[in-house]
Amino acid sequence: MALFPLQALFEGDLVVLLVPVDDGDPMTVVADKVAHHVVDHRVAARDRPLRSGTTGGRCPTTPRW
Amino acid sequence: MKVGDVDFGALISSIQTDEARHSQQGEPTIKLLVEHGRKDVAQQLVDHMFWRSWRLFALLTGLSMDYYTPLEHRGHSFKEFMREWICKQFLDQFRDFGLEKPWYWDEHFLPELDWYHHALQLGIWYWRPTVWWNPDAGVAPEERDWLEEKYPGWHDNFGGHWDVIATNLREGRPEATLPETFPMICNLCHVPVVAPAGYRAGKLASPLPRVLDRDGRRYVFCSAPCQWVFEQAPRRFQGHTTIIDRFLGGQIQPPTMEGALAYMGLSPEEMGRDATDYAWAHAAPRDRTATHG
Repeated sequence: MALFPLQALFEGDLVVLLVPVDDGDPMTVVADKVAHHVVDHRVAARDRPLRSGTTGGRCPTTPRW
Repeated sequence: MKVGDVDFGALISSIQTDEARHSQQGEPTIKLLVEHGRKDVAQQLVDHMFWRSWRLFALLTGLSMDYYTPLEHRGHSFKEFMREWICKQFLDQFRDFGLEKPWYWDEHFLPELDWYHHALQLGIWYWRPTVWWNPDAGVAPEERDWLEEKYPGWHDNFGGHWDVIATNLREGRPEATLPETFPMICNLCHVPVVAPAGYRAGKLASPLPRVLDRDGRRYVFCSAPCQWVFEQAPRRFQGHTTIIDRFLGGQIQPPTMEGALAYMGLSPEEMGRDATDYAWAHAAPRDRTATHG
């Protein structure tokens, strides 16, 4: 378990963020950690599932935002 | 600034005379290069430095004209100013020398007049503890009307972000309007990567930063021209580190927002705060449901 930095972009936000995640985090947790900095800060919450992915693809996750 | 602020007046006078000297050096330098058969060098210098200047000019002058100047004192919008003085007169000057407009002019520069400094305004206001002035949000209802008039689509592209921020302030959550992490920074211009805002405004094909792996190091760029400038002279730029590079490289301790602010030399008294103590957020918002759904 080790922290590592991600370049993260939340759809609808205006800027690419530096977000620390753990290498053991499932994608649901990664999505939550990115959303923490954006949702209800600069982007309004929406009642729909969070989806996350890398620049190579997208995978569904379950939290709602 | 107060009436009788002699030091500020002296500062402005010094800056202006300095800039006047700079403006008198460029033209003869370009003329000499062209006369001696080095038009290619002159063109490369103009292409290189115009873009780097644009990055900072948008940040400093764009915000000053469209957000920090009181509404009753605004003449041109920043875009109108750029159209008249840069896109016409400044460009005509280079054409008179036989130079072409920079390669990125139509595809990258002109579209940015509609969105780039608006994204920077949001970013600088949100990351206000990292700057040494007190940013004015400049988005009270009547100011938003002016922005929408000058930049049609402003509300859809940027107003929603300000709505979320204003709601947090009105409902007593100022902490939700302050950063807990950093934006990625461009390895050329050292300005945050706001390409997602350009993509959202329909002016960029991708919201992603540009990434270059070179000699064992990864570089991040905000735009194609910034990457181009870097790749024209990599030895000149490859040793530079952004504040994010230093953060990730362990030079900033503790590796936290507080540690980074201390690294920047900003005491709590010096960190930027909202210039109006959030008065803009408490003004009655316009009902835009009729037009913006």
